Amino acid sequence: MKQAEDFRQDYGMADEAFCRCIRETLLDLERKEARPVRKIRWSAAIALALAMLACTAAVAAVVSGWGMMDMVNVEGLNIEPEETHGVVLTEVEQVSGENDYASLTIREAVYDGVCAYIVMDLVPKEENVLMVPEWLDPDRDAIGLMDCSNGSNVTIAEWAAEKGFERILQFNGLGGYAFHVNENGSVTLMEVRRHEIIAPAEELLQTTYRGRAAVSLNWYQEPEKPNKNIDVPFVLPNSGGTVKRYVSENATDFHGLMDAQVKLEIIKTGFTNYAVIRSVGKDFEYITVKDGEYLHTDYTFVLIDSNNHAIPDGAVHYSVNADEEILSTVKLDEVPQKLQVRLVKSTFGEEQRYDGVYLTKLHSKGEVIETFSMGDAIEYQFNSTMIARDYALKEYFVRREATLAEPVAFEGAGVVLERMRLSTYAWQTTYEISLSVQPHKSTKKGMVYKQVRFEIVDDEGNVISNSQGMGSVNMYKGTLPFSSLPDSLRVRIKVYDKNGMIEYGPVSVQLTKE
Amino acid sequence: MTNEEFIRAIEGMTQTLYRVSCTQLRIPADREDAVQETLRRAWEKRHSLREERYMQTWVIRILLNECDRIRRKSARMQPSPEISAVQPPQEQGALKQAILDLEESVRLPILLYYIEGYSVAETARMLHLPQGTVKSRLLRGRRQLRAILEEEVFEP
Repeated sequence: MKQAEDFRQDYGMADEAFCRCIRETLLDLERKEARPVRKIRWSAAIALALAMLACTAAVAAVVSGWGMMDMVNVEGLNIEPEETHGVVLTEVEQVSGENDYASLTIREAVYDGVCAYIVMDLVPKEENVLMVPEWLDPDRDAIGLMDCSNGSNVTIAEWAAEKGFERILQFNGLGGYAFHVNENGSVTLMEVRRHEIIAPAEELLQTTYRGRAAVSLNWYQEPEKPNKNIDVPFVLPNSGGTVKRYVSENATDFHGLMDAQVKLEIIKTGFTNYAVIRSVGKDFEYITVKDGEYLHTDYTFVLIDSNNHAIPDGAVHYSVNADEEILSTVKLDEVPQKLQVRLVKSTFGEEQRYDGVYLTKLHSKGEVIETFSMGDAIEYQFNSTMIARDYALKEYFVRREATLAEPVAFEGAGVVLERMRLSTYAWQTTYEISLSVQPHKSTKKGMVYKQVRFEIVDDEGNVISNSQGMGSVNMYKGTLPFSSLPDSLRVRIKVYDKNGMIEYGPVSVQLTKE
Repeated sequence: MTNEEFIRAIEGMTQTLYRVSCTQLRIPADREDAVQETLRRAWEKRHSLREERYMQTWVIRILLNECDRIRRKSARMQPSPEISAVQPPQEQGALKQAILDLEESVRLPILLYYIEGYSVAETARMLHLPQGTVKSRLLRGRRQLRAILEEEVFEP
């Protein structure tokens, strides 16, 4: 009896192009992520500030000279040092780890119930060793990628030699960081981590953050030396405090536009402010199966401020790992008077966009503190007809639909137009069809189907829209330049084989409006 | 999960990703696009994967989504005259061709269960189907495979 491995071999191996695609994609992702400015997704400002700080502080930089307060000041959070008294932790439990290559020390940290901010020093054990991130190639990449104060375009290896560094120790595994190279070859790194589960308001102050700082080390161009890791578990108490926490009074499913319920929260801590979009109730249904087809739904949430402007870094695209409770944590420099979360839903892979708006009433521990109103200028109706508004993201809503009155057979072709559905939107009409195709022949290797091209034509026979496919069932989707539903359409098919093409039709198909 | 662990896990899945994409997309360039986008999305979300044992099923789910997106996008594209004729079938194993010729609804369950070796529960989770549905599709798929591989049921 054949085993799975036999089947796999029979199935064939991935070709070289496919394997290379995977290798190069992974390499590219790793390199891109390691670039510090892009790394901290929702707070690019922090990364930028850190890079700027690295420029200005490079000359005087020493291991202990670059820390949390520098970040606070440079980022412009308007937090006076006395306000952060006690917020920045300088004695973190289980703060360091080491091996015979280097030591990793968590020097400063803030945990405010939402995010953990960690400043670490990675110091080589030997002298004249330069620490370099693994995503950089010392012999190919310029030193400017490591230290913007240098201004030189020599390679990292050349720069290291100029400065008297004899060896290079590469590190990897610390995610979400900005880093700064110190004059003695050590690096200072910063990570910002989102807490996966934000506790209820009454428990927030009592929560602690448990994390691990893990780094992998290897000597550059010294393959005989094994890779070694440092793993530092640490615990952070909530030092940031929670000044206020507002939770939306109700959850919304955007009037049926999504399967999950969504709540909005604003958390003002002693360190900064956050907007949190949270799913409650059932999970997202982002893939469904209909008639054997796998239908994919994307959700994008966009935070909108009082002036109907999108909040910076306030959009989150959500299509995978949909089991998460917290969909997005967005840092707010200041809390707007009004905050909305907008849903853009894209279904079936089509640029079919719904846009709903949900308005929150915020309260804390049951008491309404602030009411966020929509204003008089904008009105919404959440019923069968939704009103499109002139936003940055346009809003389109389904208006009417029509379906095929009865299946249409193309005589002699072995092809039947089984289903057809048209949906008219504010600006165009989309259609979906299903063609059933008889097999052309069958061999020991299986059924063989001819290629079929489906066309919608006008009265003169000019093609308005077409698609083609091959197989027993051909599902097509397309758009038509109609603003209203027609009563009928003219369609034809073209069937191809090695001898050429045979055309069937056009025939008129009747539609039933719903 | 560290970057290195993620990369190793993906590299270990290369053949699986290839086979799954083959069941969904016939054009090699489309398969490469799908896997590229899959890796990008998985990479972005990898820290939110709470249990690493679900990584394989999670990545395959993303890949299926991407394949679906590309198929639908391709269906809307205007074909160029040069590719209107049927492409000659490529040399490939009989089993591979047979699986490609299975009905859409049974193709993936057959691949994931019999070739990739996932359990019924894992297959059901990946496809968002009840386990009973997966079992019935496996049964139907086996019958279709037998028909394709052992009989010539239709003559030109």
